[in-house]
Amino acid sequence: MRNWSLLYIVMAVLSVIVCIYAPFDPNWRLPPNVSTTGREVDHLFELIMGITGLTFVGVSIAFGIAAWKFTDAPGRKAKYMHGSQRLEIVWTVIPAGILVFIALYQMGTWTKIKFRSEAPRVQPIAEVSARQFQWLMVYPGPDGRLHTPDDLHTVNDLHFVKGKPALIYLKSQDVIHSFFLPQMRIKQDALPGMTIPVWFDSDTASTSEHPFELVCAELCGWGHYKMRSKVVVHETQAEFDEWVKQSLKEQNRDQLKSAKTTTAAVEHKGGESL
Amino acid sequence: MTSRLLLTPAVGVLLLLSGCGTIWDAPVGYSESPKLTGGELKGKTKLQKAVRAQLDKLYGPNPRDIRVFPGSGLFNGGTSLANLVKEGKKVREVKYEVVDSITGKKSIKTQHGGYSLYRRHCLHCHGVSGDGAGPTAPYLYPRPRDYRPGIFKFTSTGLNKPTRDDLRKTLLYGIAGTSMPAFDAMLSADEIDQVVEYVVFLSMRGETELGLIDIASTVDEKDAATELSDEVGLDTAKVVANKWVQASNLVVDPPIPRVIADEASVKRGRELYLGLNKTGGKVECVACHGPQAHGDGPSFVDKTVFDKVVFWEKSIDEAIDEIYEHMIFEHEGKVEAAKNPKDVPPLIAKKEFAAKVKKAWGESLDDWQNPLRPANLTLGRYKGGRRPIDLYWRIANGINGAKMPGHASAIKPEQIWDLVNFVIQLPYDPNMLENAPPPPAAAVAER
Amino acid sequence: MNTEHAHGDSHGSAANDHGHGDHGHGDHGHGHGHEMSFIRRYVFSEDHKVIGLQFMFSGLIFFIIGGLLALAIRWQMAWPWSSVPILSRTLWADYGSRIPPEVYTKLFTMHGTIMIFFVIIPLLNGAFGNFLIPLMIGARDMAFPKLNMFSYWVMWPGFIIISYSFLVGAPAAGWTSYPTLANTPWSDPGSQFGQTLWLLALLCVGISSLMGSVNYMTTIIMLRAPGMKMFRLPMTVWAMFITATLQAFALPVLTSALIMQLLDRVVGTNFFTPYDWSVANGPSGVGGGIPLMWQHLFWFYSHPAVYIMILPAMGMVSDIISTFSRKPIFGYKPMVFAIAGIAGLGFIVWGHHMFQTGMNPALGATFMLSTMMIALPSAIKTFNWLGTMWGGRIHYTTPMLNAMAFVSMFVIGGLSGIFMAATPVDIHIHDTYFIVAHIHYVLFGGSMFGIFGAIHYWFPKMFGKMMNDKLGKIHFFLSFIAFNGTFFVMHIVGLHGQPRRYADYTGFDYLNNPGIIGMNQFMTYSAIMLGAAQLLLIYNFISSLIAGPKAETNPWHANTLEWTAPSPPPHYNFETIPTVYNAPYEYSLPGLDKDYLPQTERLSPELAAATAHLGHG
Repeated sequence: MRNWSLLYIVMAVLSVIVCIYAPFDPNWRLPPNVSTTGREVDHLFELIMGITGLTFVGVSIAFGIAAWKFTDAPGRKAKYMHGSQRLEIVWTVIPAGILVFIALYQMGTWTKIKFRSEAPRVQPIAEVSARQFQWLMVYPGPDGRLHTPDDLHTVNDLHFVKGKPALIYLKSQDVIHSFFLPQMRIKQDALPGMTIPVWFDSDTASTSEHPFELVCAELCGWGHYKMRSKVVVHETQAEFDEWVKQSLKEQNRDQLKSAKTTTAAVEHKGGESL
Repeated sequence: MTSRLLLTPAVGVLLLLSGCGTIWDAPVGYSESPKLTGGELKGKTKLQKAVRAQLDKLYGPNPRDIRVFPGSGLFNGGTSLANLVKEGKKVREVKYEVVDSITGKKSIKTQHGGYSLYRRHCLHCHGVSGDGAGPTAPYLYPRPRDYRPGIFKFTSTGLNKPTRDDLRKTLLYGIAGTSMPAFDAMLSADEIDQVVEYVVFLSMRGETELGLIDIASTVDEKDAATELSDEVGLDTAKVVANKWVQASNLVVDPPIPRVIADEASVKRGRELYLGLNKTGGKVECVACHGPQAHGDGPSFVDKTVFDKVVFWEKSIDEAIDEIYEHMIFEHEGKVEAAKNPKDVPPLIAKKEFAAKVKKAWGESLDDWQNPLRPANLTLGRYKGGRRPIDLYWRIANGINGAKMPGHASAIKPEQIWDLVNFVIQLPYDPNMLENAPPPPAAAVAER
Repeated sequence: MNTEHAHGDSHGSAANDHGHGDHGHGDHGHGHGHEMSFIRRYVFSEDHKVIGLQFMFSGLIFFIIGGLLALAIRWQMAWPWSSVPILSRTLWADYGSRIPPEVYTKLFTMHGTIMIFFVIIPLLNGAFGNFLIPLMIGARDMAFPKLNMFSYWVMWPGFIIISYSFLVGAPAAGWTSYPTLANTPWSDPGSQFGQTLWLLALLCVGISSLMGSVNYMTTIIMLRAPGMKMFRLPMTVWAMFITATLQAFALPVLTSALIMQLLDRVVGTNFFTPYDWSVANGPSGVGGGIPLMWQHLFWFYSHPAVYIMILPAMGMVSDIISTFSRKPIFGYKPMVFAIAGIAGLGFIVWGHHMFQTGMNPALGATFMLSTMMIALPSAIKTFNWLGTMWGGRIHYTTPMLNAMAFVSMFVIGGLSGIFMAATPVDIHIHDTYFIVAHIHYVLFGGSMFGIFGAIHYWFPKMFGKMMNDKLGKIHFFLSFIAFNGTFFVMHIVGLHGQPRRYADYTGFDYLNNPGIIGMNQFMTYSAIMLGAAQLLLIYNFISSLIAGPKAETNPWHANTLEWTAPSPPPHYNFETIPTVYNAPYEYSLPGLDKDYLPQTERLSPELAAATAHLGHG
């Protein structure tokens, strides 16, 4: 009968093993972080992981011992007791202290990421509006202002510059979506009827072929899973400006008969017999 | 043996997909045009059979066994449609090369193939056969495209087949204001091309089917074998294929560059839009798009009726009942408020009203018999693309299958550019049309 | 009608008798049961035990449906868009043999709705609440037997409506049904008539719960047997009492929210639709509402509902652990206060579901603090369960195994909750599979294992037959392993950022790799095993019901009052209303020749005096 306790013990040990193994496998942990505030989030995550991990180990050991040692055996009698006030106080006060500590410790990070008063004092890089099932980005054109005829419109294509805080205005045209940047530890719901500023940065550049990803994280209908957007982080401001310029050029194309260019943004590449 | 002669040079493409071929797999087959079993060919089973046989020979019996006839014009002889290719008796995987634009590193990828990608991303709206009748389709407005008649709305070629670039653009950026999503982030460039080829394949198959049905409906049943021979089948298919091949030569490029989008041009565009221009040809934008460009012109069925039928899923009669009830209520209010009740014009008779609405409804359908709405131009959502050239094509060539006519013959290119400039400016300046006069009652745009 | 009247009278007098403390009244009320027609006895019954069993059977049937839906979900997660057994051939033969994406959204919506509103709440509160409360407090029936009957039969419109919605297009806005997705019929394939039905079905469930909670509170306050002081109540009854209070206060808010959404959908009001808004290329309404308001109202109920779904299980598990540790419960009063604390705090933490919604972040900080604090009573309870086992004499029976699984799984579910209570970490894990893992560790690892334990524990009392212990243990073993295989891995993919409610995560580069896909397939295999294991439970349940060995009155040698009634108890439960002399968990009292002391047994004055310093009372 005692062997049943092993089931719980084995399960606890396996859980701990998984938690120890996880940091060594890129797929078993948080995606690599690229943002400043993301570092703080990761630090908090590790801290809580440590605290809860130790708690889990402690509780599991107690559980394991209780389950193994106090199995029914002939001649053994259970201890008749109703509890211990001292123990109750101990295991109320200590967890309370830890929980309050975690709560207070993280306030700063929360403030930095979400409080509007902490938003970087920069021009917004774009207005992002979500709709079923895509992200529509509007970048200010040469005049530097949004909602003018020279704006650049893109679909599922978010661009900003490495190492600079990027501020966007988040909107939704129809239902609730959620703006989730897994590599930057940013998530903010897009609510119809509200404009919400969101800011983030990246210390790593990415390309259109290997972009970071923008994910919709709030159920928005049948095509929820289709709401992927590329997130391209340009190495320099100049590179970003050049991208805006080129994109605007394409957006303003009038395709004169005399100056014919190929529309193909995409070239066919081989395919016959490789 | 003509059939053997035909199939020897043909490329047979076999498909093997993950998850397919399991014991719980359902067989996948193409749907048939209703004209094949109804209309002229009703009951003529031999002719129906002959049409089916030709289609199977030309395009393969089902999406897992695709065949491509020689001269199809499909990219690389149709090899991008599937992941396995059979030529003669040899079966091989299709691979392609990818070059990383940054590092320049080359890598070789195994192709998913058009069908596999189409099945995953497109099929639930556009259907197995490209008939626009996938499981998600009934819930959507506008309805997903049925490729089989071979008509595509947003082309750079006027009434002709779209170019591959046109289709690619639709796939990459989606269609604003519809449920067609943008796939540029979901699919790689090569995958987009594979899907484009598959869409063209489905469209060719559908149009060939219609062509064969046309031929079949003119012949006697006992001549089925001779009149619908393999040669006839191949010819029909090639006629369709040629239209696709020709498309890239038929792109309509504006003869003059875009007129500079200054205030004067926008103003000229506004006058054109409202039909107030003194010089040049006239266009009747207001009749459909409405005086405030809200897409509520008198040529189309009233928006209340439209919303009730399309979105609240009422029958047209229910919608008429409800609206008429409201009209009575309003009329009574007017009569009560008026000093002299006789001044209030009498309410239109219900029968007459119903007939009017139904007639308008019938005229507000597109070529696929789906309800249609003119664009609200103040939103800045451009279905065919927001580039000036896209808007030029829409205005000059119209929208195939829809009620938007081409205006290239009515007005001069510079006037078209003025309109383009006006349409681009409008969302930022919607009060440009604040005091626009109502359209003349009789104005009805005809295609 | 006459017999029924006679009933009411005789019962009424019995109830009054408690009030006067006139125990030992030989009413033999159960005799009346034999005169009733089959329909009055078993269908439209006013007997709390029959009603409890009715709740249990319907709950278990919906458990099967909800489980099958879960398997279909897992299939899509492991092998996106591949052919699904049975379904592909029957439903999607014309659609390329693959699941349409809107059907996937319907699957998880219905899975969540059914499991929460039609399985766990009815099983815990409806089934065990009804069956146990009068038996455990020594009453003949509930305070309002007729209301009790209505509380079950008002579930039926709910059952019918939610099942019917499968036929007309099931809802697909998630079990939370956030506007504006759920608000207009054209916003999503699942927001058509099915969504209206969803609202109506939940209204029925809400009315049922409200009727039940009024009844439970009244019964527990008014109908306790003589000597049954509040602090002599078993933990199960305490948990039920506090749960009932929670429900009574939280449900009106949900009800009003449901009615608002119903009005938005049917009449065209604009509670939740903002100004200048349109969806799915449809017309824009008048607007002026606030989408977030639904979330506030919904979570004001549904967060307490999370506790409604776990507190009764905690109570029952406390009873089971104490019984099979043969040891009084550790810290009875702290346990009661902890439950009360959870209930109290449960009302001020709803905002933690909304940290990322655009709710004022300052408010988020406040909710974070209260959420952290609610972990405390849960921790206290866990420590007390460990304290109860510590120094005990643990009998590894099937109920005990399940109850211990509850504790060990609740530890994981509780600790993972701290991650999302920490707002900055929640930014990353919100709406990912981490949340799915957490909710399943609490609701399956917690509540469901509690229910499994309770079924095996009280089965003898319910039906007078014993369940097969060996089968029960195999079922437990497989369920426990498969459960962890299914849901532990969800933490990992969740941390990696796999969003919940995605029909296909493989379109995203950071998720499209053999590691993540492999884990998803592993979860699916485990889920299939978990589903298969439940067949054993069904088999054991039915075969024991038919041919199980006869159960004695008190097979587990437990103390609480239900074990003094015959198995199964007659219509009026007790031959005579029992008198309570002891606290409920007097196991292994020194000086006694047996290791248990039923609440109805009076200790000899000498022994009582000798054990008083040990806390006997």
